[in-house]
Amino acid sequence: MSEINDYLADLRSHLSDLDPERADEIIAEVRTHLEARAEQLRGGGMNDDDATAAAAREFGDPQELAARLREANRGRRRVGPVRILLSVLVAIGGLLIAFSVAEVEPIWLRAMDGALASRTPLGPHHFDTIVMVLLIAPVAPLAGLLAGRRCCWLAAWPPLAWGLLLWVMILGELLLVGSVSQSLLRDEGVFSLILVFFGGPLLAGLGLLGARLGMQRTTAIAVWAIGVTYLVVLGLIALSLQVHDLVGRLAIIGISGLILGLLAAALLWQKGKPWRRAVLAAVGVCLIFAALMIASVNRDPQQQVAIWRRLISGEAVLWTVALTAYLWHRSRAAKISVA
Amino acid sequence: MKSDPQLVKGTVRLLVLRLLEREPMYGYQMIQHLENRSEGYFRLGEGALYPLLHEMEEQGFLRAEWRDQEGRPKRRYYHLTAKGRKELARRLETWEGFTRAVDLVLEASHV
Repeated sequence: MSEINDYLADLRSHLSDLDPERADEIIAEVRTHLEARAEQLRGGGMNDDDATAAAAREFGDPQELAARLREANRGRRRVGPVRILLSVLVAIGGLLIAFSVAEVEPIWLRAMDGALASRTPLGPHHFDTIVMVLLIAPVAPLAGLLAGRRCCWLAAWPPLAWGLLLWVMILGELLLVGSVSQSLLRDEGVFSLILVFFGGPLLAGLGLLGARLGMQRTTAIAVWAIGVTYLVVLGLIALSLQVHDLVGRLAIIGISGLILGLLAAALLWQKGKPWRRAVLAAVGVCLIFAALMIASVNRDPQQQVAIWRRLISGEAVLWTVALTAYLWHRSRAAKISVA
Repeated sequence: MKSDPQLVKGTVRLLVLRLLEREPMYGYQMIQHLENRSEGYFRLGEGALYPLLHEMEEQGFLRAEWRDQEGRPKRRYYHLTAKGRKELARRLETWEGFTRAVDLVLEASHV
């Protein structure tokens, strides 16, 4: 029996990429198989030690088998709280770097700004946008893709969202759609924090819907906890720094939107196929957010229009894409209920 | 009769789906059934079966559940889902088309 235990311990050590519960389940399944095979071999006249050794040998190299099992269980890869936390930290780190760079304005960046300004139609005040894009845009999507490949698209969301946003911003600038990104970064000042607050409800909502999305219980709790922390702690920091009173209102709106959005998502969940439900839920959440933003943030009609356009072109698209991609990925994984 | 690994590899999904169409089975049972029914032709490697089952489970063709056994450890039984039945029908149709085409060519070559 020790041969079987050794074999299973070896196999288990190569399944660390999988969700621990799934890996344990695989080990239990292989154990029943090996024991049945050993019993059959013993029935054929083999002694106990030889039978267990032969059963383990027949099963093949544990490392190769683990590689095939990991590939076959891609939808059950570990969504560990640590990885999600790291991913969120990447997003927050990017935010902090961007702000600090924009504040410090070292000489070499000033020179670069001057050079860029002289050769492009961009004005000198586009400095921090360019720097942000140069610093983060190439790295963030790569980090997101790596996280998604290695873990799951939930962990990939924050860096991917950052990358996507920044590329949208710079493309908007280059196409001279208007000084959208500049106004968002400097004049409005809180756009990046708005994103942070939108990331919070998203993670918290995914955590609450975790069981329906097929997450393990511990994972769902971790996602929810990170989302709420993301929302509340950063909201408090922003308020204490008095970055902008808009931020405080956004935090409250974010929580309200989360509750209403989840309600809409829960209602929509009852109908249709998974991807349709995902799209409907994401769109519903976005629309609720937009309505709340317009209703409570600003009463100036012109600014309301600006907020509406910004939501539709930025956050709403981001939300829809992120949620849809994630839920589509989960629906493809086709989780089963194990008795 | 010695089996061709490539042929076995190409047909094993169809065979597993067909096996499970009649009754839920656990992995070891499937291996034995395949070997017995094929008179030893399909001797599927244990290490190959489980990744295949898990992949088909991920694709939604199979559903699995643990069942208690009297006086024995629990076993993981695989069931065919509705999606799996459709997949079986599709694969059977493809297989029949393939074998018919091969037969036609082989028979024509004899004439």
